[in-house]
Amino acid sequence: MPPILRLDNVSRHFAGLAAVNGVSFEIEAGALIGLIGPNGAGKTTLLSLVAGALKPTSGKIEFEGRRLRGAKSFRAVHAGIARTHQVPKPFRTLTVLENVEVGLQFGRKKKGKSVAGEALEVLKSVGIGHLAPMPASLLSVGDLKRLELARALAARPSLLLCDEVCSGLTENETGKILRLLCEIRSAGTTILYVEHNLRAIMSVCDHLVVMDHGQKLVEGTPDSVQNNPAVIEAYIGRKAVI
Amino acid sequence: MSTVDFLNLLVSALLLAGVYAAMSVGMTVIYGVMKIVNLAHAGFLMLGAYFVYELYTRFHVDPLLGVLLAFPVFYCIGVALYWLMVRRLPRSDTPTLSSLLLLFGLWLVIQNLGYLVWGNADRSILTSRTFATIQIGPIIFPTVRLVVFGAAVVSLGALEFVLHKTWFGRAVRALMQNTDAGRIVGVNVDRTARVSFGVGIAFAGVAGGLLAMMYSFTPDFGGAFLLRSFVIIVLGGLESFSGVAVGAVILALVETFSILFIPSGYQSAVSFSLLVVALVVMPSGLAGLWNRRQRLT
Amino acid sequence: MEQAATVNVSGVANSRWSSPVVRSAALEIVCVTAVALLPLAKLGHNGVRLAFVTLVWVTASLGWNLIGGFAGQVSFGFAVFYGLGAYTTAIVYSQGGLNRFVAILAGALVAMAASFLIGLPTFRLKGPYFAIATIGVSETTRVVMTNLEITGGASGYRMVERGAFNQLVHFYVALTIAAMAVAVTIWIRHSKLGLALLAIREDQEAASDLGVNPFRCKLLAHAVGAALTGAAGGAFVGYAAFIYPQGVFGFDISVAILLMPIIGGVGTVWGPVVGAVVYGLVNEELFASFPQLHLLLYGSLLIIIILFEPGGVLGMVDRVVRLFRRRSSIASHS
Repeated sequence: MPPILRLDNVSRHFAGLAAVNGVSFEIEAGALIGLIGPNGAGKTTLLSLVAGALKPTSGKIEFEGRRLRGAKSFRAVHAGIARTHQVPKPFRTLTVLENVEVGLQFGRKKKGKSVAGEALEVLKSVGIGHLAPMPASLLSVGDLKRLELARALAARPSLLLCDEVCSGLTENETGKILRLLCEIRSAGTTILYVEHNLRAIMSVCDHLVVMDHGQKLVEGTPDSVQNNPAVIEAYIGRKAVI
Repeated sequence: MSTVDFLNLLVSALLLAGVYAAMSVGMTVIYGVMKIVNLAHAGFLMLGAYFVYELYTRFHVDPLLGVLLAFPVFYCIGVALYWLMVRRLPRSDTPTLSSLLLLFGLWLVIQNLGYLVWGNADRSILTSRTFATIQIGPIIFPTVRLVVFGAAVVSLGALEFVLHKTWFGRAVRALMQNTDAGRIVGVNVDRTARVSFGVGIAFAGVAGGLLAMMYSFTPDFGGAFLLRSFVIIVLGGLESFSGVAVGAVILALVETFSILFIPSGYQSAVSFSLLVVALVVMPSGLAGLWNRRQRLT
Repeated sequence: MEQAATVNVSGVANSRWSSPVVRSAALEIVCVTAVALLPLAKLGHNGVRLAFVTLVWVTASLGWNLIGGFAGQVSFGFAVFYGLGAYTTAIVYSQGGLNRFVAILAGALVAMAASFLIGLPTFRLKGPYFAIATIGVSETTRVVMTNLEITGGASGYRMVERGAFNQLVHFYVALTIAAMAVAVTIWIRHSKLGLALLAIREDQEAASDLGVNPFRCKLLAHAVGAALTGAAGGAFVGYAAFIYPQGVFGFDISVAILLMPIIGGVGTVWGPVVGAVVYGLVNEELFASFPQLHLLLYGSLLIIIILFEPGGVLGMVDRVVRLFRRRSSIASHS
């Protein structure tokens, strides 16, 4: 079985500065991979590259064996990749339900008819079913994060890119989201998960990739990464979070 | 076409470029600091023209002096408008449609006030300079254009000085790069925005006065120049002052030399089409194209 | 709370009338019938003319609203479609000898084709730059038409009339087209395309991240909007019988077309209709009494709307209604 996602020496520059610099790794289908690293390591840029919102300046990205051209995120969605945003981007004047309907109608499994019932199910699965008729502009940050996740799920991806879906949530809520991610993975979706909450990410991921300064520092199981001196050094001096 | 004719056209174009640059600088300041596309710029060009005109015809104030006086007067108008309206707009790092529509509404109001006060007869500022010509070598050009060019260069030079040697200038350059970062290092965003808006309107008034010395005008005077300003700042990259100079030269050259190839009726279509082409082909302006080339080599 | 959500949302509505599509459609049928009966109200020649002009504006306003209101891509150059529709209709009718409706259809199609030519390069631009580009396009077209001798140039084009002038025919033509415009708007608003357009308006990047193809959706909305506006121009030229470039391609036409939906309530189904009615009536009265003030009025209106009530007339009405509802619910609870 080929890996569902393969990054081969991928770089992305912004005006000469390399946000992502020669990163390579692979993800097996059905895995829950964590992507960690200090602030500014390039994690969100990497997600944007995979999601098709940015084009790599060099290197290649292969999804399900096919090369991703990049720069048109809706094509990535139709291929089966969906993402959440680190800073939520809700459709403010639409209701929470309509926000999710967008994902359902235009995601991988496009619909034609009414999707209200299905949308409600998705909302319930992330725990905000009760907010369905509310305009998205009225939601709290925590609920917005969950809406992000619901929208991405509605696009029925085979690869889900999560960008800090747990920040802003309570301990209890974080637990629920982590359990949800595990369920999604069990149902067959591969997940690439960027998170700052190291305890959370260590508890669910099979495998971690650590980035720093745009490059891949190391990858391995949570245990091996946790005790890796290079990783510890990368974190200490900025923010000791472990 | 003889060399002399060619040189004449070339000099003409360059003189025009100077004024065009002065005209567009006002929009660049406002856009760079507040990310607002000032559609009312046209209205202030018009008001500047009438301001200088009235000072000349009623009080016999030399138009150049009138232009100089226009700066503080329009600065105050700009600050007042900022306080009244512009500061109520939602702040954003990218241009918003509400700012576009608000200033468009302001332009309509100003235009109508113009019609009410001055009617739609053609006005011009006729001084002894208007018909005089100067000859340098084989090239002959109207004195007034040289004078206007000189005034434009002086005002641009003053702007350059301000941008690089004063707190306001530094604040403007900081905010043009990154509003949040500017705020963090202590730039008073509100005050800088207010002053920038005032300066932008002031330059519009000054430019209007300069243009009035060269062309006749009516209250809808600003419209054609507004589009030209867009072309210039888009060509120049929207946020770069040196870009404005480049854009002004290009537009002036294209306009001046297109007379040779295009029937006169289609003249105004030249700047309109150039605008569309510029926006579509190089949205980040020539500066953007240049940067991209630099990165690839 | 969850109960209520289930009832509203699962599609099992209590009565058909709770569906917004049905309500809008019913309202449209009522309005169209009412307007259709207007000429019987002894309005006189002038009154019917006013109603006719208003209906033309309603159509153009709705056309603009599809791309400017629903998708949030404000165009300052919709006159190009109005003018193309008018000229095409006039020429096809006069030189082609075809009947009125076919001529108007031709006008709509030409406008639609133009919308692709314009949209393909310009929709890549962000909002305000697109708006500025549309000014450039519209003005270029106007200048070209002013110089084009085969269509009459600056002196304009006169239609060849067949048969006597019957005001009512034009009125009902305009009404039919306006009714279609409202129907199309209602249909789009509640369709998948409508959802996409609204999402694009809110956040184009996020919409794309969910699988919406913003380019295609905008082109589609632009095309339909252009067709409607072109049809409006075609209806207009039938009545006026004479058009000239400044009159149909002028910047003031573009301004009027964008003002109406904003006044009434941009991005809604009925806002453009309300705005067109307000504009149509006020414009006529204003022109009669204070011909020099209309720019002032519309400019001030625009400023006030942007600063205080971006939802226009409908937004204000909505606010008042909600205030009453809150007051009455407080009253009934105390």
